[in-house]
Amino acid sequence: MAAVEVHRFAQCITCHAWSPDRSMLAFCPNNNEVHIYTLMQSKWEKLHVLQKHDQIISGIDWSARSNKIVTSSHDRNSYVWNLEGSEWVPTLVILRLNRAALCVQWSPKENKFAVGSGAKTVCICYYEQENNWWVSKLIRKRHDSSVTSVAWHPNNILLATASTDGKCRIFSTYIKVVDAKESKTVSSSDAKFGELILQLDLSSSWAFGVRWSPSGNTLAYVGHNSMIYFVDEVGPSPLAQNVAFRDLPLRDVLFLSERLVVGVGFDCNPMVFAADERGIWSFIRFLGERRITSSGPKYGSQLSGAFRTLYGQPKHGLSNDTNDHSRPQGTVHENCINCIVPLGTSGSSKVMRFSTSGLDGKVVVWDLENQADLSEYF
Amino acid sequence: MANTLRLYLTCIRNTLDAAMCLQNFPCQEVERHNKPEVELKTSPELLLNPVLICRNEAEKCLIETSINSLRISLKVKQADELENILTKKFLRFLSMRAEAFQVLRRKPVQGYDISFLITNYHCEEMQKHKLIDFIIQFMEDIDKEISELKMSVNTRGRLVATEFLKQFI
Amino acid sequence: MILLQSHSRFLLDTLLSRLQNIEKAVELDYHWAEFDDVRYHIQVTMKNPHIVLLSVSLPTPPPETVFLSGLPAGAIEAIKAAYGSVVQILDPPRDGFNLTLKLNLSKLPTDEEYKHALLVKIASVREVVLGAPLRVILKQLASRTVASDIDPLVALVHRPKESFFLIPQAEKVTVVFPMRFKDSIDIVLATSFLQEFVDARRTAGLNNAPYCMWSPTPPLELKGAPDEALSVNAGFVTFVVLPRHVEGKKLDRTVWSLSTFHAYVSYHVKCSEGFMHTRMRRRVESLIEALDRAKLGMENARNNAAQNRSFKRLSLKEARNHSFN
Repeated sequence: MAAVEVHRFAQCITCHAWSPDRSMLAFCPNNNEVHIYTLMQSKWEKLHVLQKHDQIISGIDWSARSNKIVTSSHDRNSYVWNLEGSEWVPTLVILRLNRAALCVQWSPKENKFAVGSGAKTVCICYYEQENNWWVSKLIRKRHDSSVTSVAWHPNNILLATASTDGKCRIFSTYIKVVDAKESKTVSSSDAKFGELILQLDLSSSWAFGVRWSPSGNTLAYVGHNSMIYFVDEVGPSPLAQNVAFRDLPLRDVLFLSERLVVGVGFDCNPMVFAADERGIWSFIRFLGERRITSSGPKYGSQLSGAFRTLYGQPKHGLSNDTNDHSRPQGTVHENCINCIVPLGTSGSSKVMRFSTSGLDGKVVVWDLENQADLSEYF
Repeated sequence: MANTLRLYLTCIRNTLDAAMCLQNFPCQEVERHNKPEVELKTSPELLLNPVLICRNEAEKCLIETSINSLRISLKVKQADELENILTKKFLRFLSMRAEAFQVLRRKPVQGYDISFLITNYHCEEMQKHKLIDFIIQFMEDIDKEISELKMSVNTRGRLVATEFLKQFI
Repeated sequence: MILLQSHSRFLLDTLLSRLQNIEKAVELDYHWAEFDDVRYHIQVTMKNPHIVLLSVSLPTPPPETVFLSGLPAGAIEAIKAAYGSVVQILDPPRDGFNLTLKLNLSKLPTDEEYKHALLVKIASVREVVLGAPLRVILKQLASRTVASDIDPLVALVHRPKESFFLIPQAEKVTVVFPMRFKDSIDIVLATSFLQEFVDARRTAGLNNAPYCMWSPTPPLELKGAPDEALSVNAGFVTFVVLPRHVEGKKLDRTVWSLSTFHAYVSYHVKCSEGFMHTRMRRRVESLIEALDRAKLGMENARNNAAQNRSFKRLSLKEARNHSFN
């Protein structure tokens, strides 16, 4: 079985993150707090409650090397939390947002973090040693709707965003004071801060969950029209693939290797996508076993019919003779999964373990070690 | 007849299953607000195409979906004056208990008899498939209730008339 | 109770209890109202415990209905015939009433059965008074002595400012009820009930009942009736009463049934609504339960989680090595 550990921490979990050594788990129980748990004598005990935000927390990221937690919230603010002694001390980041912050992610070098917002902007934040504060630089006027997800390219410069305007965009976040001293050999170093490198207009509906492959050669993001998009050769002439599936839409996505992707979302069961030797991506299977509870014949095709109408676009590559469709009962998660986090060993480009959390309040750890059919994609 | 009802309800069930993929989504227009977008309709890109499912001219179901909320509006069969008044009375009864039916919209959408408003918060505290079961049961019940009430009115009417006329013989 | 009873239950009970304690002088002064705006006042004084003053107020007649000195035609005669010497009509009646009767309880017959029958009759004073003109005409029908000079269209009051109509002929009396209701649901329910009268009359067992008709527009017989009397919202019901419907003892029953027809329908409309409310309340409760079931599942899951606060281990391998890398 791919799900190796299951624990229900709350009625609902908005997002979660792990400490660098995976001994602690931070999550938001669908309110304005972050709870930090640790496993003590095989029991999960609550260690800390981080209280500073005054609205629901939309994103948590825990930096692997500097051990800092960054949070974003609908209250328009971000905090960077630093462990001093046994206390988590918050530092307010002035994002200069007038709408909710929707997602947050540390850059690979952990010297910047990006926040997507409901103000249709992205904030790139960096630390100013002299003033001892976090400065926010805004990328404005590019998004036509809320920014729902951000993803850093391994080069620490390129940032991919997904938006409810249906588009996925790639920006340069080059900030001289931060990036100039770090590296001289950045591929897009000629691009100025905030420059739009690429705009992908593949989805007919909202885009969520965007991620780069470990090498940064492939980009994946999901659309609410039950599609997942894979983009190779990000640059002037990108190669895009659209993969449609007959189940409910995805919310978030994660690369396990260059050729293996897991998507999570409204179907409550992680979905595996893989690229064959020619680089053609397709849906492989669901990760969790499910009890087959058929809801009558032709269910699948009727469901996709409903999708077609909702999203106003025919779905290509969709077979109509789909099998019986089963409902989420019997899956590990019992409600929408909205967050997927890698649990890889640092330095490895392969992710064998990852965790998911969702509106059912569960955190589930998955291990693909024994999934023989997927081993060829690692 | 019963068969067409099942098809109608199955179609609604499937559409709701596809449409009820809601998430917490703060307002883009007003600072620190979080309101059902399907009601505000201020950001057209946050709305999906509405779906209208008709069993016949008199019975239909409108499903309007947005990123964080969806609206289900029903037009219930009213073949005659009696069914019309029974439906009205039943729906008025329901709306008086609106606070117990958290998903009931206080006022139906124009042109419909009753509307439900389901938000991401309902999906967080309720099981989606049971919520859909509820909507379907609601539709079945209303159908059944109206025909049973109609039958009971007719039965009583016949009894009342018979007893009265018996007085003369 | 399906049929309406002709006597006032409260009036009968009051008279009976007064009679039981006749020795004890008490003061009584009750006012009450019954259907179709018939109001009663009963009064007994300490000084004369045997004397009961009973006043009755009748529904206000519409212009087309004639009252003679505040009472329907033939009412005085009907009272005298029904009650004899036990009752004396006071003239003028008490202020605000159409009729005041002085009952002398000491003059009641000694025979228990007869006495009870007379008290019931007194309690049915509305039937005696309001039904008087109808009774006169139906009695003529029974004896086939309808006067040739009789008005072709007789209006009789049955509700405040509303009348029903009689078209007396030698072999039959046609009775037409213009039906009006206040509430829109009353109108719909009553209309559906009234059509049941027509259908019920066609069934085998009721072939001998009066011919019955319902129409949304005034029947021809009402030509000449004032416009206000013809404006209705639940149509017109017509019964054709033949001599056989008013023979002998049937007369009283027929008079009562016809003079309270509207009240009878109205009463059952209200019963029907009460029944619907009970049913709807039950249905609404069951729907609320269905919605709560959607939440309950989560409650159970939460309880389970609270009881089992550690990770559920799903493989032996994991049990040996539970920390994450």
